[in-house]
Amino acid sequence: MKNNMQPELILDQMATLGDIHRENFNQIDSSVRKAFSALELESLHRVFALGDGDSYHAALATEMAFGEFAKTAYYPTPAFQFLAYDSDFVPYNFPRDTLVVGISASGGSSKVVESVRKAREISEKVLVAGLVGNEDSRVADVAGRMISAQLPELGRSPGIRTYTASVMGLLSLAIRIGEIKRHYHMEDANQLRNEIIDLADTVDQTYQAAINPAMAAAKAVKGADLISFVGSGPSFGSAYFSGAKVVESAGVFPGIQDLEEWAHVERFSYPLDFPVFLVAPPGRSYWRALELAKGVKLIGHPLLAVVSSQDTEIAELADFVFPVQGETREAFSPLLYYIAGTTFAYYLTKELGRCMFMTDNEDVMAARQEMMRQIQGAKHD
Amino acid sequence: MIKVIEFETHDRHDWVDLTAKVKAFVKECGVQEGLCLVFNPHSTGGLFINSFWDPNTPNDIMREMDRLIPTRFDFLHQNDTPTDAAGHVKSAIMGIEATFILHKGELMVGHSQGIVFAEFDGPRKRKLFVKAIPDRAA
Repeated sequence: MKNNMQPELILDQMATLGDIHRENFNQIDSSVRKAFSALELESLHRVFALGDGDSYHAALATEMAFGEFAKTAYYPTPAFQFLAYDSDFVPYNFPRDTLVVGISASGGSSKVVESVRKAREISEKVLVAGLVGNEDSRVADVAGRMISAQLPELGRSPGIRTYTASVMGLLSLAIRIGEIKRHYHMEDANQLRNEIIDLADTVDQTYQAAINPAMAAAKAVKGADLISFVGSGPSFGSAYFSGAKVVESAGVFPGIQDLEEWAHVERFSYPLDFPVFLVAPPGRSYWRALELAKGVKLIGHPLLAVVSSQDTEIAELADFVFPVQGETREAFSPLLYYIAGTTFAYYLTKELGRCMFMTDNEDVMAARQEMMRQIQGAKHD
Repeated sequence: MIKVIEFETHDRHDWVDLTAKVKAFVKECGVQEGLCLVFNPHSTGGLFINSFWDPNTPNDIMREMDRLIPTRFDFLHQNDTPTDAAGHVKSAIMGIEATFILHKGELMVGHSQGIVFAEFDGPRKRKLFVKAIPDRAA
């Protein structure tokens, strides 16, 4: 067991999330400023954000910010999708009107490396950058231009701090583009940056508030074969990331879906008792989340809801409520609404008596090793 | 005696006539003979003394400053915004302080002269520091 990954590593990371706001955001923001000249950002019309796993989730979670602040077209895209399909159809009408950002916490995700390399071959008119958690990495090297989201290393675990840093890097980029394009004044941009820093205490409080509901929910749903994670807008990214932490740490399959798609498709699922984990901050999709919460309960699913601590409507329907402390604008909600899912992932792993990535199960590890040996590009290099 | 005059600007390029406020401070402080220092603590704003009766005079001054130093993307100062970078240069060229003679409790300025704050990167909350310095007693 000594080489297996203990889930307590998750808690080590969770305890430091507020500090990333306090101690690291300014560095990440500074790196964004240094990565691009004003001229380069002023002419941008579209941004492709490429990543795999948590990096892709970070790209999804920040789509609203690019609409609201940068007012550019924004395409959060899995790296392979870009590599195999989109890269052949990237528009570049003018110099610097398109930016491709390859996101990789390790800086070594193979498809991100290849995507970034291919993006650079499209045209000199296309800007390419790597948003990396490791400055000395292949993505940074191949991109030739780097946004650093590198944090002090706390040991190997499912990426949690690195996700926070990637989200911060993308939010910072969106704010910076809007500032340079004069959608708002520099003072307003700095106010937005301060809002992110000022979330530090709220992050810590939200983690503390998630512990009891996470323990209770994990005990109640530990027999579930799958858990459905649902959210829209920036909360689709938060739901996706929450589901990823559950499968990585506890090995439980996450069905991840958009609110409206769930109402169209997943409502036909059987059996009726798998848990639904709903991410529903105040904002544009809250009303639809409330409707879905009603529907989910009518069908008979246990409902786990991540909502504002001020919420009364969804909270009243839910079997387990993860109260998110404080308030923030919806575009910044990904910095608060991923905490509950990660905390839940830890307690579910404990309830199931597992190690992260199922590293304590020799059969699973042997099968996975064989898969890694046979399937090209499956590993992070 | 010192006073902080606070005000807001309303556009990227703007000007605010502060003559009345500085004169009111001079009356309030009671200094009869001496100097009055007006200091602008902002690095993207300027201070000029000129006619304010016709608003087109300050407008012309602001337009000419913008013509001389337009917002460009090739300023070396890239940490903030191009407007901000241009504002620093404009502020440096225009200057940020003015000193007046106080005589018989009045600010000695010409009939057409006003004290004008020049905004080069607004809109923002701004302030001026004003200090009245009495002559040393003979």
